Amino acid sequence: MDALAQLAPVAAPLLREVDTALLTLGAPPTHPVWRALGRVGATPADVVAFVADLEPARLRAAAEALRAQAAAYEQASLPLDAPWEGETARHYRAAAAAAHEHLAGDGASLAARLRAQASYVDSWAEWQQALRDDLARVLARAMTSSQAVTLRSQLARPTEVDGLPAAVQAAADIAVVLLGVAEDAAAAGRDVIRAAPDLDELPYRESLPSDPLAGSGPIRVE
Amino acid sequence: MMLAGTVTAIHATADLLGDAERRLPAVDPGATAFGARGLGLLGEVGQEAYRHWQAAMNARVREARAHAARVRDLAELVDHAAGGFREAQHSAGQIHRTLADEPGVA
Repeated sequence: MDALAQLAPVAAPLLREVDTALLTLGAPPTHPVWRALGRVGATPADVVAFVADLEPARLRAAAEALRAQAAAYEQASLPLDAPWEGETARHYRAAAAAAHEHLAGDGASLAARLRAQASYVDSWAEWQQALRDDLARVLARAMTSSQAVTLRSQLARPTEVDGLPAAVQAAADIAVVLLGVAEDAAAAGRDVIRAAPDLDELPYRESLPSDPLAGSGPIRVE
Repeated sequence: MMLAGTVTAIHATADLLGDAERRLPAVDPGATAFGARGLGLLGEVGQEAYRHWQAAMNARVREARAHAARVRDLAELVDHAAGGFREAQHSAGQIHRTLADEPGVA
């Protein structure tokens, strides 16, 4: 259980209060929270709930499964030699060598594509974990902040209107730092997409004689 | 390796690829695991990540299917060679028996 898994349930009441204040009382007109809300498209409570539900382990499990499949391709024993001679044998050797290269050769291969896809999904697992850790840090600071105290004090005494402007400011301040984590994570996520390896279908390259069955040479089995 | 052993080994590789074609879709952790069901900006990032993953997974499945077919073609090639060998062996046996039956031929 990571820090966010521990913090999110404890922070839920404060996040509800922040959301309620934003939705019912608004925020100071020039506060950066307005722009942050527009860009992120979700409230602080929604962001935290969403991130708390992310399970990087599920993505890591997918990466492991892909690597296991790649290892199976690499261990496949496709016979490269033909235990007979003649035109068909020459064709077989060329075709088997091409098939082996495509499956698990040193260059671009099906095994390499599986490993590249495993790395891609691992990158997302790392991205999710970094997002969870960053959010947990900011959330911990927010929970012990003076703004949290101000907001709670006001909400505990809803009839005392003197404290309202400070509470509105406090809710906006808490919201903007939490939404900032989401914005930064989105930018990092776009970087992951941009840095993704080539995962397109690998074209097959074969170099074969024209007609494998046209040969009329002798067949000699070892 | 004899022809039969070669064919068996080739079929084993084709089966491995066939299994991969069937099993790879089950590796998909789903849209939710990528955060594609989220609201707003983070949901958009999750959707893009998942679209990329799905396209890649479809490519892996197509690769496995196409290569399984190629490898099965290899097995057919060896079968063809084995058929030719059996035919030649049969003919040689017949000639041998014919010659042995002819009087004066040792």
